[in-house]
Amino acid sequence: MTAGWKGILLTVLGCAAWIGVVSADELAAIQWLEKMSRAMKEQNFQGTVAFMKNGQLDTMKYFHAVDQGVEQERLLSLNSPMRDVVRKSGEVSCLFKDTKEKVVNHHPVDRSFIVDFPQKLDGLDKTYDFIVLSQEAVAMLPAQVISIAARDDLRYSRKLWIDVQQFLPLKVEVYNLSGEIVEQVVFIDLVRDAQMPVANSDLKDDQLVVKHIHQLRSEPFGNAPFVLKDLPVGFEIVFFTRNSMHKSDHPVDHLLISDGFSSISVYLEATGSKPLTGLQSLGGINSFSRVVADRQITVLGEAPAKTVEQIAMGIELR
Amino acid sequence: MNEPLHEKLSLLVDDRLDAEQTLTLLKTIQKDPHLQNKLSRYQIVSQTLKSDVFVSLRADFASGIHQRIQQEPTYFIPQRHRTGFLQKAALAVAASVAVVAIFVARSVDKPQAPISMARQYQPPQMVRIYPVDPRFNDYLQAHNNSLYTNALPHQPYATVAGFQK
Repeated sequence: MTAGWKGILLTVLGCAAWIGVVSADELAAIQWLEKMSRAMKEQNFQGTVAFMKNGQLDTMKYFHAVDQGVEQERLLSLNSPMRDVVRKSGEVSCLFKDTKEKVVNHHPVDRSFIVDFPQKLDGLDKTYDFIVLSQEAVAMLPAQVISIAARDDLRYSRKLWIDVQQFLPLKVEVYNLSGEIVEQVVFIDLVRDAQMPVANSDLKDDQLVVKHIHQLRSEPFGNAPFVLKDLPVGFEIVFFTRNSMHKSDHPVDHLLISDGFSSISVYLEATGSKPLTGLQSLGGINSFSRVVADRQITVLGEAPAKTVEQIAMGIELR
Repeated sequence: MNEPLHEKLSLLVDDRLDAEQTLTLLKTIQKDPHLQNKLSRYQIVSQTLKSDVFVSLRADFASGIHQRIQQEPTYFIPQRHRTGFLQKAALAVAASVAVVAIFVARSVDKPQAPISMARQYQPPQMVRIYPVDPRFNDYLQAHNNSLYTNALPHQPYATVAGFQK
């Protein structure tokens, strides 16, 4: 074999080895995430969590319990307004203890309070890179840091800190395109408690003023009065429904799309006397509104401003 | 006359000069290239002594920051009204930091890894709405559960009209 061919062979083998190393690293990161997803659903644990979302910071007591296969999350606020928030069986209820009022939100997508995590990780490697980083301590527990890095500028990157022993999420950070933290959830303390029962509020519904919102049913997207002409890669339709909003009975079309980690809502409704227009931001949430004919379109989600604007500008009425 | 100026330069670098003297000194430095060079040398020495590491800045560092601020989207976070004294002190500190940054950037020859500043995407004009438009909170409540995990003054059934102050 000539020197030239030897050089080519060595180069090819080197590339194959490098690709192998990169693939093994990505596989290990996905395995960490899969173990975390399972642990979040199956284990009983509780702790104190700090939430930095929508530009606001708050700390809450957190409980997660599974009873006969039914998962429940509960948050008790430590600061005013005092709230008791429970997620169970696909609905989220928020009890305001001071005013003895309760809102029950029948949201069609069941998501943990701690981290928005996809049901499946298949296919997400087209839009995200999954990388195992170093180990750090969070809440005095050793944690493996996993980077979920966006491959384009149409979505946010994330990092997860996963307990190396129990595979529970200890910290989540979401970063904007400049690398700044726009959302953070971090456990200040965490205890796994296999015997912890599902806890319920000591106030019964007959002692409260209860309102049910978003009692809705998913419809086929074909029923929507609009189409999406410029959907960013990786985003898929999660559900479409019609809602009543804004303290009135007039319907609002609501479409939810997601790329697995980032969710974006599209709202279409009749234009009011003061239509919303342009770009608005709240923490890591961006929204873009425009008026088409007599309809107001608003695209809102945990994504860069560019993304919500792209989607909004690509909406056409049927 | 020079001696007190050298001492003041040293105090400025160590952040031990009061706001009024800082402003006076900065005005003097602005007109005197010799003082400008002296200040940059003091800055290098001070930083090296404190941290054993020296970081130099690009000449366009301050303008780049200004550009990024211009491109920042508008947020709903309310601004507290500051007293006149606090405003002046904040301006003095910002002015001194900007001047020091410019002088240090000019005087150092070391190559510096570029700080990525430019954004390809130019966002459209932001609409500032304060207090928060109630419709925005309705959209957020339908979008996900995050509205329940933060400390907004929450009125059930009604939309949130503002932030905690």
